[in-house]
Amino acid sequence: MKYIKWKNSILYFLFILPALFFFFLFFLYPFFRSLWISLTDAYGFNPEIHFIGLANYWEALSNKGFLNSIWVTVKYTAFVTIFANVCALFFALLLDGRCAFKKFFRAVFFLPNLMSLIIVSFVWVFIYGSVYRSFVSAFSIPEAWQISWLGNEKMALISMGITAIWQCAGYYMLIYIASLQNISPELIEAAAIDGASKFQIIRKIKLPLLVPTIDINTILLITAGFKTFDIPLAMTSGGPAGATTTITLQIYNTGFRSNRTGYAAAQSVVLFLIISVITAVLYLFQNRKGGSDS
Amino acid sequence: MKKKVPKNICVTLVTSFAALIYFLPVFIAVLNSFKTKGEILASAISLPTSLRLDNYMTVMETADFIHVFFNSCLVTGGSIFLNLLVSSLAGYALARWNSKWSKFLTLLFLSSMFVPFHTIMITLLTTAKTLNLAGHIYGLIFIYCGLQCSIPIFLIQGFVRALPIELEEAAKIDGCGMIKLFGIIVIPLIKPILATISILNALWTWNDYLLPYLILGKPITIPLSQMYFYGQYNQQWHLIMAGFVVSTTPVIIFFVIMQKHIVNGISAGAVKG
Repeated sequence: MKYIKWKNSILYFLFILPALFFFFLFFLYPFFRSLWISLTDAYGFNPEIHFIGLANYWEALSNKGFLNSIWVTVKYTAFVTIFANVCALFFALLLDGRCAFKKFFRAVFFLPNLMSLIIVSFVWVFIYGSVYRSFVSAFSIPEAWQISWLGNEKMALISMGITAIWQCAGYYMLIYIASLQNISPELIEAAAIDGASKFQIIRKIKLPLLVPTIDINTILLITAGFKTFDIPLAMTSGGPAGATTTITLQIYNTGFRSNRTGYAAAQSVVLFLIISVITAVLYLFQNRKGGSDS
Repeated sequence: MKKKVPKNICVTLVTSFAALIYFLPVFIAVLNSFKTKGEILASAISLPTSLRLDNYMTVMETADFIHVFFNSCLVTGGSIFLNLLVSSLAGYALARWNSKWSKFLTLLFLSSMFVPFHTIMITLLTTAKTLNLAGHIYGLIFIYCGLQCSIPIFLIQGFVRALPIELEEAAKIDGCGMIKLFGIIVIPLIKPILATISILNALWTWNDYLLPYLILGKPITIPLSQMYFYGQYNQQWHLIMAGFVVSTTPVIIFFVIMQKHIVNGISAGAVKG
């Protein structure tokens, strides 16, 4: 009996081995290696490195550029998380109702999500530039009302956020639609018979039942926001004056432009810690809320 | 079963209006892809004077689009295939193996979801260079397999746990070996979740920019070639917009064909992940 159990265990382990092999080689090893070189003075891909303790972390946490990139990322993430959720929820509620051509509209809202962020960014650079200028001259809008979408430090981050929302809202809309379809139609019919208006049904029945989905989408949006890379890279390269340099772009510049790989690794570990803490806190918050309800 | 509900004109109108605004950027891009450089300079919101296809020809030729498209298919298809193979084996074993080791390994795979790619990108590139995988498409496929296997393993494990074990036990009593059992009985049973994973994987891989950029170093997949093209033809918007249309069309065709599966896949993936 014991022999069979052993034989089974070994077979099961052999089944897991290929996945473990790739996972170890391309995730676990680089991850721990990254933790290690963040404590060293690694430069470029030079194999000679020296242990320097937490010096890289102190530098990161006292460096204005890096702290600024954290602040930029927080602002950007907050903007995208709020408005992408609002858009997604709005579209989902529209398509959940008695709208005609549902499939077609769902496709329209979702399609941007299938496009590469790099290409989407170029289209929006074009819109913020040439298209906007043509629009301004066609309708002769006074100069005081004109907006420099990507050139202005305050506007650039918002312009990037709009691009991100346009690209991702459809994805979260699909998740909202799926969870709206799980609401039992009897509940809504009963409310309608009792004389509830459409907006009352949305506010009093649909939204409260959607809260767990809103939580999930918020967690997904926040973690995605902190990892934003393609949009700032393609739209602004971090400018003007670092106003759109997100954490990931900062890590990329430190590691591959300045070649300070050790320091970049320390910055990337800080990003990892920020994301872990936020995710853990949000999950705890969500579970506690769910626990007290039931 | 389904009651035919009367359509609401007001909601449909609001939705149409929202959809119109939402699709405006794509519409503008398509319009401008037919114009000449001079026409765009004159006005980027006017209609093109004729439906010229010159821009498309230029893009297809200079960006070597057919070749690039084929490479993107190879990377996406190859990584999906390898990932399905590896993670269905692992997911099945982790679901059926009752021991503290299987719990530990599950947690190990899951923990990777907290780590952003940027935390490992520098050391991953070093690893790829050491193993001589940098610059090769097969290297990129192997790396995707390691980076993207945890969510598929998790999804497959959950799916297998919900399957009745009696079928497998009966096969075992009949003398069916584990590998045969996996191939003949388990794989057909887990097909639905494999379809979901393929869709999710295709969406992650097709448009990925940073990892292919670091590993391949040459503009040979669609997002990379678009970025390169953009740098090369700075401000030549008529060509860039044609590039947008050319590189987005395959995705739209894919979506139209697979619409049901994509929508279900995303809903299922989000609820479980």
